[in-house]
Amino acid sequence: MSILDRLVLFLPTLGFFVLGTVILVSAWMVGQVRRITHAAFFMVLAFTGVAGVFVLLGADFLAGSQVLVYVGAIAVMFLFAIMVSDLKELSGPAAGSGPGGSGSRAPEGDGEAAAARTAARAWVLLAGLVAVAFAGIVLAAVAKAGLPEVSVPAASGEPTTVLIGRELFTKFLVPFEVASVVLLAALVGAIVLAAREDKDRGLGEEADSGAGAAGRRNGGVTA
Amino acid sequence: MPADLGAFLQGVFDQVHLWASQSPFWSALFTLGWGIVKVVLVLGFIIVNVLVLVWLERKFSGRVQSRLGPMRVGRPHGWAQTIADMIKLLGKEDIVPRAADKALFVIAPVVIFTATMLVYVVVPMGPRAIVSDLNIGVLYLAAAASFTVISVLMAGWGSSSKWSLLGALRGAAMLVSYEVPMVLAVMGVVLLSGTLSTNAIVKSQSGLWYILVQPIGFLVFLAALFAELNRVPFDLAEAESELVSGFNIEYSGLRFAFFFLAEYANLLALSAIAVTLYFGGWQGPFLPPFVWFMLKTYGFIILVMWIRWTLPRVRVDQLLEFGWKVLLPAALVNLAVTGVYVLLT
Repeated sequence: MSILDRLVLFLPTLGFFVLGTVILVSAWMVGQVRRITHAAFFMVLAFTGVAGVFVLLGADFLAGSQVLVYVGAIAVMFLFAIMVSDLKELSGPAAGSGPGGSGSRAPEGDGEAAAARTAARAWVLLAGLVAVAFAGIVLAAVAKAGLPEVSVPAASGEPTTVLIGRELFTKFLVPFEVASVVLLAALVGAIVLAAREDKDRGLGEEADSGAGAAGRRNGGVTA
Repeated sequence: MPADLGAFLQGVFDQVHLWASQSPFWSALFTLGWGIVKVVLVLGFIIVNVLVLVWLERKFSGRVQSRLGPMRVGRPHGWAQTIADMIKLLGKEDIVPRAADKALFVIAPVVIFTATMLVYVVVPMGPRAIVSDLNIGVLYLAAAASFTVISVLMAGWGSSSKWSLLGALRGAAMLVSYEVPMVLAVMGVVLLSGTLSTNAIVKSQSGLWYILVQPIGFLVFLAALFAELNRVPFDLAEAESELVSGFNIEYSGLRFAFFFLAEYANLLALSAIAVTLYFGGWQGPFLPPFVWFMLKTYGFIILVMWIRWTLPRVRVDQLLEFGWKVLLPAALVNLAVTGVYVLLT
């Protein structure tokens, strides 16, 4: 076996490290970039990278679902929420917590700004502690669990869709159905909350001016 | 002669493949080289067909509106009009608005074109003429469509223009809400054929086209397809008369060419997918499979254009109501009935 052959056999590993770097860097950037839309698009990149890792593992169905659900649905929902929000409101607290951002609020008084800065630093410290503690617990749990080493099942010849389908409809039927009921409940709950808020606002308007509400409703639908 | 040539090429291919499979390195190099050949073939296929499609659309809309369409460039019937337009487009100044979010603005055309190219991977143009017959073909198609939504939002937001942002939000809302009935409608076909692979779906239609057993599913799919293609009656993301051109309004020159190319490449790809899922794909008597595939696809494209140039645009609220209150229940009923049928037989 020549050195070139060894190189080729190393390619999947190399691919994993490249994808891993992309995922980690883009996940880091989600928290680092100043513009919140950029953060959302970096999240898309991280999700896509995870799908790439699934492809390397031979889990094609999982990769497809990952892209469909995370890129096609969740990330799009994030982007929607960002794009219909008031951007000044979104970027306000972020600018205050940064070391440069608090300077812009200096006219309020030096003492106040310094107090805000120490408070922000305390929060950062607390968040760091929580993160370290959580990471420690997770790592300890993983180390203790002694996960079995399983080879990639794609080699068995059956497509992954068949394997997943069989498992889902036999062994994991109840958990799967329970999960869908939970999601349905969340969906209904979200609709109820959104509808109630709308109704409250509509009633408030009606108290102010009876004619305004109907006109606003028409305007609101088409906007 | 063509059959001889095909057999000869097949023989050469098999020899090279056999020789390359001796060592991992040459095998990997062979895969890479063959992959590049496929990409070049598909790119050529897309560009030639897009040139034809743009011309066809202009001629067809001319017919519908009782005029001639392009006549001057190239005789007969202005066949060279799109080529001239393309050259003109490439010579245009490339403008990035000062207020634009430059990174997103530049990346968006690339993402939308890549998303469209992804679809061609699973389009079966003949028994063996498919880039890669993925096991998860249909799921892969839905996943590839996700990137279209992302790129529309990227372009709309990145342009920092109210028209493009409105267009992008409308477009994304439409794509997201019509993706659900579309996938559910296609599930009917998947249930009947018992596979997600596009080529296997074509093969399972040797007796009966799925449009005959899945008429409701097909209608839901067709309606969702128009939303996916951004075409009248669901062209709210572009809406020339109200949003000027929607999410891609700030683009010019080569970058606009990417959007334009992606739009027509998408029309071709989704029409090919519709033919694959409901009209027996490349199957047909007498003629070679590829000819059948092209005939059916162009027939379907004519149908899409016919609808585009005869119907008015719907309003946003009508669009969303139709999607969630008509298409989704219809798709669910269709899926349930198909499921019961498959269970019983």
